[in-house]
Amino acid sequence: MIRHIRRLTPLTLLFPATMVFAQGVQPTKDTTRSEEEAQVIAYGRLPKREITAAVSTLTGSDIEKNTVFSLGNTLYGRIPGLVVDQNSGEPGNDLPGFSMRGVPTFGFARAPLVLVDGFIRDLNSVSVFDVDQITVLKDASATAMYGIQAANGVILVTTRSGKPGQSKLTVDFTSGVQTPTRLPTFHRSAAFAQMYNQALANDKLPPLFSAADIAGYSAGNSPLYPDVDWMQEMINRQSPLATLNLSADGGNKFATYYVSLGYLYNDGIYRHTGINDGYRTNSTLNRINFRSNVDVKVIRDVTLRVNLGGQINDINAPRMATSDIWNRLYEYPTHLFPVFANEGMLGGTAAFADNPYGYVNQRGYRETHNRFFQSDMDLKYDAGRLLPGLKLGARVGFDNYYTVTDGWSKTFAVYQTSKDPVTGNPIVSAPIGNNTNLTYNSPYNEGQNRRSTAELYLNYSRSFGANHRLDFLTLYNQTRQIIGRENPYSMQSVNARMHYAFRDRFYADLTASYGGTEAFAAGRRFGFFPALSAAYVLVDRSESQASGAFDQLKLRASAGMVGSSNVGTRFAYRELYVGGGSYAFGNTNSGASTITEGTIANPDLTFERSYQYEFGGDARLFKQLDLSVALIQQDRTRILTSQSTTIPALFGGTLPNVNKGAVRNRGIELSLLWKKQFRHAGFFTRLNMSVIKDKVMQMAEEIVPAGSEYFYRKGSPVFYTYGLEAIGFFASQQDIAASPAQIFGPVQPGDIKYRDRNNDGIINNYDVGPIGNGSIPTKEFGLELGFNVRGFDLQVMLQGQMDCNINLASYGNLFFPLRSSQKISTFVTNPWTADNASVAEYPRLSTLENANNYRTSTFWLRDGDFLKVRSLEIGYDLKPITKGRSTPVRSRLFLRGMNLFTFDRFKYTDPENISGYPTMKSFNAGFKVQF
Amino acid sequence: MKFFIRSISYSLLVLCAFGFLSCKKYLEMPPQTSFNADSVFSRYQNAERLVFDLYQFQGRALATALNSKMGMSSVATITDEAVCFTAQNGYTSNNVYAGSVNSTWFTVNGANGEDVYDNHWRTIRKAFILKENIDKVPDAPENVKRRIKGECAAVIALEYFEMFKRYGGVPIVRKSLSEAEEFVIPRAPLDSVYNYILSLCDEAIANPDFPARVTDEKDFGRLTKAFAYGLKSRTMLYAASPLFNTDKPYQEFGKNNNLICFMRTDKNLWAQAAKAASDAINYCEQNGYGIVRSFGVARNYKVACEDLPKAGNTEVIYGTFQGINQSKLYWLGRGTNMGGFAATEPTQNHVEKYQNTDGSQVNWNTPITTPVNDPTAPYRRLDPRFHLSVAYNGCLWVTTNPTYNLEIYDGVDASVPNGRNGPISARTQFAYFTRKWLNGFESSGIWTPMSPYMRLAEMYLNLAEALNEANGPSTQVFDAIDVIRTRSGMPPVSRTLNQAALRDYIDRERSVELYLENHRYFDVKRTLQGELFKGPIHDVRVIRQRNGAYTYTKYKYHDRAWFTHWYLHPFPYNEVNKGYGLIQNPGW
Repeated sequence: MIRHIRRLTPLTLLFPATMVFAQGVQPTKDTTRSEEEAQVIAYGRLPKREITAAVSTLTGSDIEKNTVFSLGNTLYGRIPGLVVDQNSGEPGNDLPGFSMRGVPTFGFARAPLVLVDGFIRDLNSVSVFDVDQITVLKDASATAMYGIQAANGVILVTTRSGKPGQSKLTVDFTSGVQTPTRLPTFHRSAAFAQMYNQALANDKLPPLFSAADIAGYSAGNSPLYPDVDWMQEMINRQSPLATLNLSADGGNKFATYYVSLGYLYNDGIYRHTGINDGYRTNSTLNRINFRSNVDVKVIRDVTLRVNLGGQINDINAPRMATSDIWNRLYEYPTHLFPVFANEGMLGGTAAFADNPYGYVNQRGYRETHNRFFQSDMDLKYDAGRLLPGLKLGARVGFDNYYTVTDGWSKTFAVYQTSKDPVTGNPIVSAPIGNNTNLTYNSPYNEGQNRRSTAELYLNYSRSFGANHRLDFLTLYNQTRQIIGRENPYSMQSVNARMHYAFRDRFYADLTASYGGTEAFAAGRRFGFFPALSAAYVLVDRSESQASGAFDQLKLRASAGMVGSSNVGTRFAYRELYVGGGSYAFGNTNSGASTITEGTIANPDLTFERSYQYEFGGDARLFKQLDLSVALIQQDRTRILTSQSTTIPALFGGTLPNVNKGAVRNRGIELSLLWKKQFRHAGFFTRLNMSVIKDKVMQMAEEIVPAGSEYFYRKGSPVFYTYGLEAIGFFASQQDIAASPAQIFGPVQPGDIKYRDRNNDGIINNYDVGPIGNGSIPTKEFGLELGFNVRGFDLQVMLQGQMDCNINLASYGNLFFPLRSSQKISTFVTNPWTADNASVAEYPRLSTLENANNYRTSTFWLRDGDFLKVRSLEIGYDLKPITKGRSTPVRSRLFLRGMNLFTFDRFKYTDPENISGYPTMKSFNAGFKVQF
Repeated sequence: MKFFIRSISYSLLVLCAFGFLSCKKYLEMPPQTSFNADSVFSRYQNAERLVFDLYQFQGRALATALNSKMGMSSVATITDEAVCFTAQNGYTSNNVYAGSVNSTWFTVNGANGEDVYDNHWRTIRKAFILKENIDKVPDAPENVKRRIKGECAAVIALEYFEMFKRYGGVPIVRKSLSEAEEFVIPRAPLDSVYNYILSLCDEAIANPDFPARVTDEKDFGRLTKAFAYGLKSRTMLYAASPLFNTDKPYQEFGKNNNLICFMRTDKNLWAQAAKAASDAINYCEQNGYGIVRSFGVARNYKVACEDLPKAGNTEVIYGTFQGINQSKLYWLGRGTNMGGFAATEPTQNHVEKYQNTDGSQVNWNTPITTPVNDPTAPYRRLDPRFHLSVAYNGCLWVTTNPTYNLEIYDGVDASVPNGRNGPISARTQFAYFTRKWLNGFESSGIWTPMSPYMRLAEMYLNLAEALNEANGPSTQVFDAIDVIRTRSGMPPVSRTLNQAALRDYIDRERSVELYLENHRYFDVKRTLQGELFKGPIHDVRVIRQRNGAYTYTKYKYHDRAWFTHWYLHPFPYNEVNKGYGLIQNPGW
């Protein structure tokens, strides 16, 4: 460590050096730079004009206008370059996924680093109402202070704080109903029976359903011929939600405060969940969150900020796993048994004993309790009396997260309905399974996660003459996270930034971090991450009298290198012998446990490096149009990649991954704001766009024979879909005989025919090549529109993505009929038969596995582009009541819709969330009052 | 200046604080909770678990009948012994029938193919590491260490034999390779690999502490010296067989012919193989092994194939429990009392190999009509091994109460109900179901048969075959065959057979005795009878007449693909493509 300190010394010495330089120079009036309008950047704030790095900001008032249960769900399309992937709408489980500026790596981690009030924290741990700003740091210059963790970008969340002299109380209430955006539908019994018989015929097996059976299903009036739409039966189309938030803020010149208390309620969409006495089985989130941010002037020149935040989530759900419930809803047959065989007796068979009605409501329930507790403290000493412009401080943060699930389970019996052979009447079988009473399961999924962080910092600002100004920040950080019984995750770094301003027109930042983690061998732990950026304000009409289109114009450029230490493996430098499973010896069929040589050690394992370059400009035109454009490039190197594709197998050991992969991203980001306010009306429109393409530059890959080079991912985007090229269905046995052999399994007429890409007369894995865009879009945009007339206003947020695919092969139980299910989704239309061969839209149905058809190919790719209306709000601001009050009473009423419309080409389920618990849309009404 | 000094002292203070907080331990390595190369050999207790690890892949690599190969359809189904449910596309044997064999699945993916090429090398590395380091263990007696060295030699020999029979000549590795080395080792000539296997067997045999048999019951499943003898016999039998023992390989390979054949025909190899077989028999029988004879002719075969030594199986030389944890449903025919997936079903071709207990054959070439209500008539007099291996229409399937008879038939018309296990009711395809390995487990939820890799019976068959090839028929040959036949109540072999007839007879006897033990695929190939795999594969159609009689009509089920280049396996393409001199076998 001493050696590392020595390496850092030059950095810290910059500080006294600048001081020496500063001798005899008067401090300027830089303190008058308004801190209020300053934007949050890494470990500080800076006026927008002076920012030389790529930083985007959202304010709390933008974020508040969403009825969501995870903060991440407010960010769709709002920040150019930040891709937010919507997930399921399950209460308590609806966190979206993030990635910054394309697909920067094929390595382990792509998610940006999230800090709340300067400490690494879960984005979801903060209430939407408590957010003052969300700042997204995108290029190396902006993120270099986070050095070894910065490569995937950084999201900074700043919570609100009070302002001296304006004490007020705010109440915010929303209530609404929600409904799934889309649900899949399935063929009903009669149609299913016909299709099933066809499938059996295709398998050369005798039919299962007679003509009388099919007629019975069509008539649909006998318990012997059930026809159950499980979606209809089990899914509620209207479930409630509500949010309530109270906050107070204010203060005086000695202390300011912001305190809040919030409550969220989000109910799930299962039906009949209230049938049990004393408990519900519906999926439900109840959340209470609180925050208290207090700034106190302790003694002269010393201020103390204490932030406390917490969240208590109680998530109720059916006892059985959500994915299992949805698999049953998708796979359980419509035709085999009714919901109830008799009054109070659930239908079912031995093979289909999990009647979804009972599976949701009569298997018990589970309650997950998770708690976030966050505390941090910042003690700042303004040492201006010792040395003008000098500030010193220390910061600590302690967070705890705990989760545990209590489960209560029971089982239920089902009864099979069959036909009495004599009378032909339906008879009900003996129970299959048992009805048991609710029993408590010992707590499970228990997990604890602690993080402690300590920081020391020193800030020095100084002007030299009229033309030069310097801000210097150096900071030491150490943070340790302990997740359950895992070895602690520790980080340590020394960071520094020098911000230089010349005549308030030219700005430059030199930022550097020297940081390390325990994950790598000594000697490979620490990295030095420098970045340099500069900006020049070409035009500023507020200063010069020049006329022209530009009111403001700033050009900026940056370059730097940052790292990503989360490579998915730690301590790889150690040679290990690990448990190797077991092998049965002796007289019993129980195994003897074994030890086996683990992955060979890789002492050279280290972090990914990201070289980032950016050139951009910000302009204001015609006093109403703000435009920002950035051209970006990122070269990620040292991505972990396998060696086993090149080392002979006769070595016999498991080779470690090595830091040899590389990915390049290039693209453009654009943001446009046109805003105009007249006396009683105004409008604004904001467009965010990014087009970012990634390309694998280096990756270990299986070597393929000449002629099949398209197989390589090198040169293609990381998430490109690779598969076979489908060229229709086999028309006949002659067609099969005349075509190249397909080795995935024997084929019949009606099976998918593939193109022999390398013309070697055989269709195998070497005919797999890039067949479409990946699952992550390369083009993202967000469009916000709004206007106001007198007290009324309307805002719409639209978000879309282009150039991505949906691979149906990943959702077998919806799109591969009869494979794992006893149901056929309505997505399956017009399957191949000998008679309709020319117009068939689907391969032949089969009751058996079909390895030839059910594999990734162009046949299963669908366009994943969409445009969604993420939020739409109509509001009315009442006239403020000022009479007899120090602070006016402001009130606002609003109607708000979330995820109201989706425009896409897929049109079956939600293009972002194909299967499982659906994505929700909601209709809300609410008010906000400020006293 | 005063300010200046004060500020310097402040910044020094800050620096000191950095130094203090960033104390060395903050990023230090956590305590080691698993073993490393030194600690694992510091106690016998740990080293023994490395010994167990040698067997980790054996459940699959041994190609015993009980493993999840060929997409669960068992390697037997790519021979004339058995067939898989052909409509089930996931059974990769179907690919073999259709002729689309490809190294990507056939020798790479263990679950879908016949072999996992990499696993041989993994086991060889484990064995070398153990052999090279076992002397480091301070708390193990010398004899235990020597035993482990012998065991390692036997394991390496076994892995090399498994590659030898599939691929021909392969690279020879004589130690554990270190990552830093250049391990570009080309394929060795076939005879070098052959000699290497024999030398490893000899090394194990010469080891005084390598036991003849497991003395501790809990060690059942570990290799022994008897195995080394047996492997030597098997290796020499394969080497003497025409696939390798020739100067003209099955397919011309130019200057690489020596990788796939011995480059000469040496009849003497048969005599050597006979000596090795007879040595193995003598060694085994002197050390407590013996053909199972004491359970009655109707059960001896079952005990020898499926039971543990503690249950009286004195015949198994190497067997394992491993690989039987997957569902036995794959072994059951469709629509039986437990359900079933029909992954492996006996063919009529195989059924015809069973003689009646008087030595005669059933004539299947004309339809057989049984007496009224007597479905099992055609089978009743067959070899007891048939009844222990194959389930058929009318046989008593579940013998315990409630009993269950198989009804694998359809009615002749609508007035005759279809049998519950027949093609229409259960949508089965084939008239025979597998019984071997399922004896006693027909209605049980638990399935724990033993899976033999090598039995003493094989040594007798090896002896008979090698002697017949070396010197023609002799009393010794006939006696060796009779040992196997008589313990199952079959009459002695006719002493009048000539060499060629006896060759066929031994071939037939071998496929009956070693049914589903995964000899057939390699036996057929080493004797260059690959055309046999083309079929036609036959089945019988069983129809119940109105009067309750059953008609059995033999019909051709299908033909299969076979190509000359299939005599040896393909190396995985991605391995060949690495370009270090692994020459692909001809035709692939």
